Amino acid sequence: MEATLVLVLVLTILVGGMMLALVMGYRSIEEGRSQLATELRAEAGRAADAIAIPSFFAWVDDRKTTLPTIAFDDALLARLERHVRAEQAVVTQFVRFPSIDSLYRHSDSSLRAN
Amino acid sequence: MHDVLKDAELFQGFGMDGIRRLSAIGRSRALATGDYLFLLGDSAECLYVVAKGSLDLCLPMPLGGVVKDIPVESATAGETLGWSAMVKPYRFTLSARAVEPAEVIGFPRHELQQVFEAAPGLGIRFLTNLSELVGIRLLTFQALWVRELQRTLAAGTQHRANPD
Repeated sequence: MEATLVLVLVLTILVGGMMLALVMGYRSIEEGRSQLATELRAEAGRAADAIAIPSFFAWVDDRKTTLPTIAFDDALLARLERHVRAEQAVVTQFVRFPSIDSLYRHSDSSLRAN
Repeated sequence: MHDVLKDAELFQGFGMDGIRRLSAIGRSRALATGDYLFLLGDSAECLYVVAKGSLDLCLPMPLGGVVKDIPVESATAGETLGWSAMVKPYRFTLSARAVEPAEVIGFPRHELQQVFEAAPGLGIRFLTNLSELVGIRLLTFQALWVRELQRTLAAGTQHRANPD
């Protein structure tokens, strides 16, 4: 009888210990994931700030309020074609004589609205 | 057709025998201004050499709910169009549109392959010339892309520095 009680007690302690270890392990993994996600978000934010690309989250309000709705018309199409041809002409020079200077040479053409 | 083919960039170094073989399989096609030779996504069965006139290679651009074809490259007499016909998945990746009355010579892929199987030397020459064209196209678009990327970064930096 006493032996049975001792066995039950030992088993209870063993099972309890295993459960506790499982719970602690789970919490540890979850905390790790949460920390990793926070770090990734922070890193993405830093990268976005560093390269300063116009971004949806940073500029969406500005764009809504300041940019007019752009639609195709003959003038825009002609400007676009002129721009592509000017860019092609500059890039052709780069293909013939590759250098950093010829790669980034200005084409006197811009699509940015004045 | 002989004169056009012997001056074509893709058939440089073919010699008279090669040009004669190509002439036998080439099919001439006339295009009016604004006609499309092929559209992006079409099955690419033929490679073309421009014999007369000029064609624009276009990519579609949607803006304000409207899609327009924007010319990204032009091809004039002696230049090649539609090398997608020679490489899988045999689909055109651009659209070709005549900007003036033009004439092209088309070469069906299977017939070109038969010519090259009969004369492997021509096949090697063809692949060498084609590789050069593909390489130039790749380099051109890489350069266009990196220039645009550089401008986007510069504009973003300028905006951050002076948001007004």
